[in-house]
This record gives sequence, C-alpha cells and structure tokens, in this order.
Amino acid sequence: MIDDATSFRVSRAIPWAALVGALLVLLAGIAIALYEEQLYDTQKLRETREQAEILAASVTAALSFHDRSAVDEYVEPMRVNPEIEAVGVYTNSGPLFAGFSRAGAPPLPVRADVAEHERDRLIVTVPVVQQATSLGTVYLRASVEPMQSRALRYAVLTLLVAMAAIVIAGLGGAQMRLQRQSQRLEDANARLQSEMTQRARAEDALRQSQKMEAIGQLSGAIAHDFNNLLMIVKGNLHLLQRKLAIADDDRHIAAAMEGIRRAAALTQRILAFSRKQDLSPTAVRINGLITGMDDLIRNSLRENIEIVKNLKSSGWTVLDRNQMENVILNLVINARDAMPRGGRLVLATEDVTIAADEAGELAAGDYVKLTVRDTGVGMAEEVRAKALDPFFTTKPIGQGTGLGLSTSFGFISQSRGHMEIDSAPGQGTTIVILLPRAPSREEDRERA
Amino acid sequence: MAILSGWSRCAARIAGFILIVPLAGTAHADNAALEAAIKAAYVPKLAPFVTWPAQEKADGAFDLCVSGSDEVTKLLPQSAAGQQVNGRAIQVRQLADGADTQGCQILYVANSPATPQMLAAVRGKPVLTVIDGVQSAHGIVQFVVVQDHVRFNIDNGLATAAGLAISSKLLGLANAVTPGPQDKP
Repeated sequence: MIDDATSFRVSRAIPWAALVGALLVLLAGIAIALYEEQLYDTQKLRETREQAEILAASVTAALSFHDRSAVDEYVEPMRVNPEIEAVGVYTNSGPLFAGFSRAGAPPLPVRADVAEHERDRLIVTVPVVQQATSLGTVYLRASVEPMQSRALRYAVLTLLVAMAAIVIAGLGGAQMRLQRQSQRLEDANARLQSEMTQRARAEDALRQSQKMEAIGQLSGAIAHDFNNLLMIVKGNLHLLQRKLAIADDDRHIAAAMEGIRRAAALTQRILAFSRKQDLSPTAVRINGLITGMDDLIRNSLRENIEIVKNLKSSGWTVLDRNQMENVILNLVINARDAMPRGGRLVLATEDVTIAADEAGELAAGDYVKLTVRDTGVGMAEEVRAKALDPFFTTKPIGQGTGLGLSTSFGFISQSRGHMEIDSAPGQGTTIVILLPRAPSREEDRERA
Repeated sequence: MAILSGWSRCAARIAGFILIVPLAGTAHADNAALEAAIKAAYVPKLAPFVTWPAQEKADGAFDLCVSGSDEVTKLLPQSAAGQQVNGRAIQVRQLADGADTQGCQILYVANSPATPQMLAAVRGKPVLTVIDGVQSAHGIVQFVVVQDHVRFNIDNGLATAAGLAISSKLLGLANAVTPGPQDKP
C-alpha cells in the first residue's frame, strides 16, 4: 500500500513537470515570435533607409546638374529588388525628377514631402546632400510582407511549438508509465524468483519423502512376511527339539535360536523405519528421559569426549519411551564415531512454538526441541542427503547396519515429529528433533 | 508653387528645357538664352563637389568671382542668389580687368581677349576656373554643348595643380576629363 501511494504521488508529479515544460516552450515560442516581428520591422526599416541613403549619395551630381539619364542609371537597378515598390528622386524645389512605380502600385507622390502612411508599406525619404548643401530628396517605398502572410508564418511557428509542447508532455507521461510498468515487472520478477526457489525446495522435500515412503512400504511388507516365516521356523524348531528330545542347552539349537532372535530384531528395526512397529506411547518428559540415560550415555562414550547438557525444556511429549531411548543412544553413538580424536557432545532441549507462517512440513503448534551436536568430522552434502536412507552407512563393514538414523527417522515421523540434519565437513554435525508437546490435559493425567 | 523663389523658377525652366524642349527645333535666340541660363545655374552648383584647401577662407561669404561679361555673367547673380556652400552664402563679385583675384574660390571667365591672361593670373592658386566653350586657354571646368545638352569638361590635372579636389561624382558626370598626374589608370 505504501508503495502504491508513493508511486501515485510520483506519477502525479511527472506530468506536472512535463506540463510546466510544455508551457515554458509555448511561452518561449510566443516570445520568439514577438521578438522576430519587432526585429523584422526594425531590420526592414534599416534596410530600406540604407538603400535610400545609398541612392541619395549616388545621385548628387546627376541630380544637381539635371542629368536625367545619369539619375536613371542609378534608379533603374533598384527594380531588381522586388520588395521596392516605388523610387522617386525629387529636386530641391520639390517636383519629381526621375523614378518609377511598379505596375499595380500607387503612383509616386507629386512632392516627396507629402506625408504618407500606408498599411503593409514602408516609406522612407532621405535628403540628397553634397557637402552640407541640400540638393533634393530620395523617396523609397518598399512593400512589407502582408500581415496575412506574416500571420500564417506565425501560425506555422505556433503549430510547431504546440507540437513540441505536446511531444514534451507526451514523453513525460510515457516516461512515467514506463517507470511504473518497469517497477511492476521488477516486483513480479522478484515474486516469481522467490516462488521458484520455494517450489524447488518443496519438490526436493516431496521427492525425499516419497522415496522414504516407497522404501518404507516395501521393506515393511518384506519385514512383516519375513517375521511370520521366522515364527514358523522358530515354532518348528521347538517342535523338532521336543520330538528329538534335544536338551535346551544344545549348542546347535541355541545357535539357531540366537539366529532367529537376531533376525526378529532386524525385522523390528525395519518395521520401525517403515513406521509400522507396534508402539506403546506414554507421556514422557525428554529432560527426565535424558537424565535417566546418564550412565548409559557415559558408558557409550570414550573419556576424551566431553558431555555438555543444556536441558531447558519443561514440556511433555507422548511417545514410546524405549524407542526414544534407542533414538538418543543411536545419535550419541553416531556422535562418538564422528569424533575419533575426542571432542564435545552437546545435548540440549527447549520448548519452542512454531507459528502458522513458519510452518513447513510441520504443523503449527508447540514442540519440544532436542538438539544433539558434536564437534566431529561432519558430513559432505551428498552424504548428508543420504544419511536417512536405510542401509546407508559410512562405517566399515560389520560396524554399522545403516539402519540407526533411518529407524530413528521412522520412529520420530511415526510420533508426528520432525528430524533434521545440519552438517558440513570439519564443522561437526547437528541433529535437531522436534516432537509435538502434549496438551496440558495429558500432563494433568500423568501427574494424577 | 505660388511662392517659388526666383532661383526655383529658373531651375524649373532649366528642367523643362532639359526634359521637354531640346535645343534643336526652337528659335535660335531662345536657345542661346536658355543655354546661358543653364550655364549660369551650373556654376554655383559646382561648389559642393569641390574641396578647397583647408587654409582657404572658411568663414564669411563664398566668393564667386566673375571676369568679363557675357550672357552667363548677367544671369549669375540671379542664379547664385540664396545659394549656400557649406553654410556660407554665395556672393558674386565682378572683377575689373587685371583686378586682384584674392579671395575668389570660383572664377568664371567670360570669353574675351583677356581670358588667357586672367586664367594665367590664377594658375596654381586654389581657384576653380570656369570658362564657356573651347578656348585657346584652359579653365578647370569648361562648358560644352553635346547633343543639344549643356555638359562640361574637367581638367583634373589643372585642378590638382591648383590644390583642388573634385568629387568623383562630378568627374563621372563630366563629358570629358583630362586626367591629373596621379590619375593614371
């Protein structure tokens, strides 16, 4: 709105400036016309007077000694100038001595001293003088450009000036419109850019979640069937043991049973990743949970790793306590493996609220935020992107299953939470888990 | 027109004579009278086209001296009356034979046996000499009749020798000009 108001004020200002400019051009045009008119009159008068003076200076002797042909020799060439209408050379006593008047023009006056004022005509009389002795008079009548033709000329000039004024005003307006248009385009472009970035991010997220979904469904179905098959093997192994009267501590039976147990545990983890494991959620305070794991965490880490705890959360969450312990333990072990030369492990919790406009994949609301940060080797971007994929591991064969982070992710997702990894090579790794905070009603029930 | 001066009347007559009445075809007596009137009118008119040396008298009357007697000398006082040269009134002065030409700026010498002597007396002095017709002695200005018109010849050499500068406008109007020493083409 502020931008609109500003642009409105600017748009009003530009045509005014253009209008003032146009008006100035118009006034300048009128001033030039008036000046030219005056200049024309003055110049015309001067020209005519000069011609009369030249003639007067030329004819002195010829007029003085009444040499008609000599006077004509001076007068006749003046016919060449079409603006000169009539030329008369008068003797000192008054009467006309020589001269001409063009066809159609009024005849020469009888005496030069007859005062004459005519429209569109310029009359000049100059005395013929030789050494201060007056010998006669030269009369010159020149036609002035008729008022009509002058008016036409000025009309053309006015038209040109008016056109210039219109062009200036039009350019001002066009410039203003162009600026507004370009501003609008810039805005639209910026919006488009931001939308494209958002869309690309959303597409990435969607692709990732679809991938996880597909892997989860496939592996979940396999794990489920595989688990049933294991139960058949286990049941029949029991029956066989009883039928053949084999002791419980038989080495082969025990090995087979151990194999079945491990296979079952694996299927449980796969089911956890595929968010299809059976959970028994209860109200849990993450702070209490971490505090209760103190010994376990300490035993999992080497002595060259410092543990820093910053537990500020006081909220409750509803989740499977055992699975959550598994998640934390997983993260702690990963951190330890990332810090072979020691370092610092930070465990932090706090209560956060995600507002409606910040909500992305998460719904707006209250959350408990758990942060696990190490000062280890960190991960490159391509590793970080695959870290949540099942069976992806950077650990040597036999040391990692590649299921730790993926099952953690599955559990957190199943608990309506969110898990994020932030890492760069040499910068350590930070894992942030957001878990929905339980409504107070559940807190009350837990306390009761 | 009713209150024209005598000179104006004379000039009107001359103009009429030149414009309308050619000399041929009119009575001889009238011709002679008109010719004399024209010459008498011309003499004072020469003055504005001539420049006298600076030290020559620059105030008082302009002296137009007359030597001898003919038809022109009779008319000169009338034609010069009321005329001015550089704001100085023209005064016609009749010289007796052998009289001093001191103060004369124009000298009209009537045709007589004494003419050469008179002209010789002012030679080299700043006096514009005017004579009528072709004579044995030279004046600076010499009236002639060419094709029924009164014209004049000018001896610019004599004028230069006398210290007079004659306007090119007058020279241009002359029937013939005898060039002066500095007038080489």
